[in-house]
Amino acid sequence: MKKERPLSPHLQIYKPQITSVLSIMHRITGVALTLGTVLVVLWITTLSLGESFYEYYVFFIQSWFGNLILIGFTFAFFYHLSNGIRHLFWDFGYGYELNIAFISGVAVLISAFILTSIIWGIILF
Amino acid sequence: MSNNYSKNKNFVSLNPGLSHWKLQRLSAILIIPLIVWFLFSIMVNMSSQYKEAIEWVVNPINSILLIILLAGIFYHSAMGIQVVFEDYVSNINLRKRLIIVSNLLIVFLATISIISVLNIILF
Repeated sequence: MKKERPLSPHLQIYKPQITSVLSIMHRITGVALTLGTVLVVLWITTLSLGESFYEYYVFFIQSWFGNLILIGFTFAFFYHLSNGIRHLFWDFGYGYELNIAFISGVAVLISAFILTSIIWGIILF
Repeated sequence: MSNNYSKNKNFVSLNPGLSHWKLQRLSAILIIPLIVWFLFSIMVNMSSQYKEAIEWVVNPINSILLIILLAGIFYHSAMGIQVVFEDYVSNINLRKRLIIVSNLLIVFLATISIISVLNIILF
């Protein structure tokens, strides 16, 4: 009874475009941020467990590896935030024109890079 | 044309899709200002010092906003992960199981983080 229906979209024959790439990045960053909430959970739980636990957390987060994870987390966050706002405009019915969708997509990428750079510029320098 | 799909057995909805869609957007709108506030707070007020971090959390405004933020984040995450499983896992049974497991994990994370905030305030 099961009919083989075509699945869409055919990712393997679609030429990647900025709109589709940004769209899947929204999901990827969303999943990454969900995994990254563990960092926030560890922050608050170690803080509540006491100073010695918190120092382990700070030690980890301030290591180069911890910083690397945090930088990725920050970028994923600013990307998801910027593109999320872009999505909210769509949800309210604005910004569907092709050129606008393209421009807002580029704006999302630029804002994610700039905001991540500002935060880490402040932290590291 | 009738909109009453619920009486038509060919249109049985597996989940209340529209309210899910709306709640995902509403939770996003709730989180955006809170997370900007949280980030700003970390950058301005906090250092890596244990005592300063505790003092920040103990402040009632901060702790209340933090609990709302944590609840909002995990709610929004759970909804997002559910949609990802719905879209990419075609096996309905496996999909349902994955959604249950991810929801349980997220509820666990939400619970221990909110309990930690309460623990800091109360003790």
